[in-house]
Amino acid sequence: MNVILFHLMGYADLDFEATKQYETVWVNLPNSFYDPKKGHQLYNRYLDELEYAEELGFDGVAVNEHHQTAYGLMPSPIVMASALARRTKRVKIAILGSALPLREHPMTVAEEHAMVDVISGGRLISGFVRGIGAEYHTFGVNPTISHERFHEAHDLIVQAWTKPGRFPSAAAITTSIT
Amino acid sequence: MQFEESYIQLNGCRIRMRRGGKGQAVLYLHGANGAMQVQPFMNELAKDFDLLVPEHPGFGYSDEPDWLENIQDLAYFYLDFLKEQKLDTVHVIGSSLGGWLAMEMAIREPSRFKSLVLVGAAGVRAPNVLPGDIFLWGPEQMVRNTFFDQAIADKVLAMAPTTEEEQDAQLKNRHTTAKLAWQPRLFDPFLAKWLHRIDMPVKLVWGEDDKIMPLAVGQVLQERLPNATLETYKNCGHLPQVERATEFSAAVKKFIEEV
Repeated sequence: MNVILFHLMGYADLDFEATKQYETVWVNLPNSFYDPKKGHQLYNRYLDELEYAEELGFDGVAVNEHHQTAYGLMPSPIVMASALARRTKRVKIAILGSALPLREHPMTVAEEHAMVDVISGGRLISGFVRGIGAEYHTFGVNPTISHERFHEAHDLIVQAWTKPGRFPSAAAITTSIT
Repeated sequence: MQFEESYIQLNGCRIRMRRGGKGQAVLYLHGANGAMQVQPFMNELAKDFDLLVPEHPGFGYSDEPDWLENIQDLAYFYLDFLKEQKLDTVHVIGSSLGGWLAMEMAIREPSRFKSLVLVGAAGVRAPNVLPGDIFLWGPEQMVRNTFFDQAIADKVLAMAPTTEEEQDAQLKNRHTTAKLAWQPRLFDPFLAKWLHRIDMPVKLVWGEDDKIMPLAVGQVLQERLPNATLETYKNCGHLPQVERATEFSAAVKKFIEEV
């Protein structure tokens, strides 16, 4: 069994009372609730915590993806994973996960995950998700074809990493973005 | 007025249709909320016309065919439907999503249309104006934002579907609407440049307080369609045919008869 420290990186300084009129901290919450000075402190605190996990003996650290929400400060878990790739030496780094249907082209995920994996010397655990409903209000990707887009993107990424030869990236997509 | 209910099999898809009245054929294309019930304005129109009210593929009690992926698929389906019903030419009324559908049909085969009535129609964008976020709104908010007169909204909310069958049909409406209109949201970026092909007489009907498809969209259509007039209703939301059933029916009757 492996023990992994999973961080969601919530916006801890949120004024909960003031958010109540929006009924949710997803999608509808105005960007005025975010203070980048506090964000700076939080990001560095959270990254310190994940780096400390290595020292404490965790087998891995994990980050995830959500958009337009005070629930998490990680619209890109890949950015966090790449920061961790340089500041840790031993732990696995798990992206749990990248929301594939939200990307215009899965090649971007294949490339960015591969970069983190190579920089970290093969320590990346690459996870894929569809994202939750709110994400589809943020991006406008059609949720009624999100399953198809997920599976197509998944298969193409695995092929890009494993299939010898030139990868026909531009021609490979068949599931329309709309 | 008695409406007859029938099921029509076409392109591997069974749809439900109501048809009532005698006279010139008028095809009513419903919006995102479907056409589960015969509405008072339909009864009014059926006094003077042969009114056809099909439920679109993917809506209400009609099938959800695999081929249905976008609004253009629906447009080709209904052009086939006209052929199948032996309607060479027809008057069309389209509300909201149904108005968008009617325009997609009309740019493809304008000669099939004797006239066109567009009510709070989706399909094109007005500059810097977004439609209401019908997918983000909760069910009650959706109803309240549909009508100006909140007494009507209260009535509609009190009639929420009760049977499992009705609830399923409503979910189906929502799913198909998302399929057709999520992105690009409630419009076709390639439609506006062909609007000049819609050269039959067009009557645009808009509630001035339409929170779903703002009046600015109606104004764009008035400018871009070669033969269109715009009639607006004060203190009226997205469905003038419901909120102003009597005025609406009389105005549409006059328009069709004078074409």
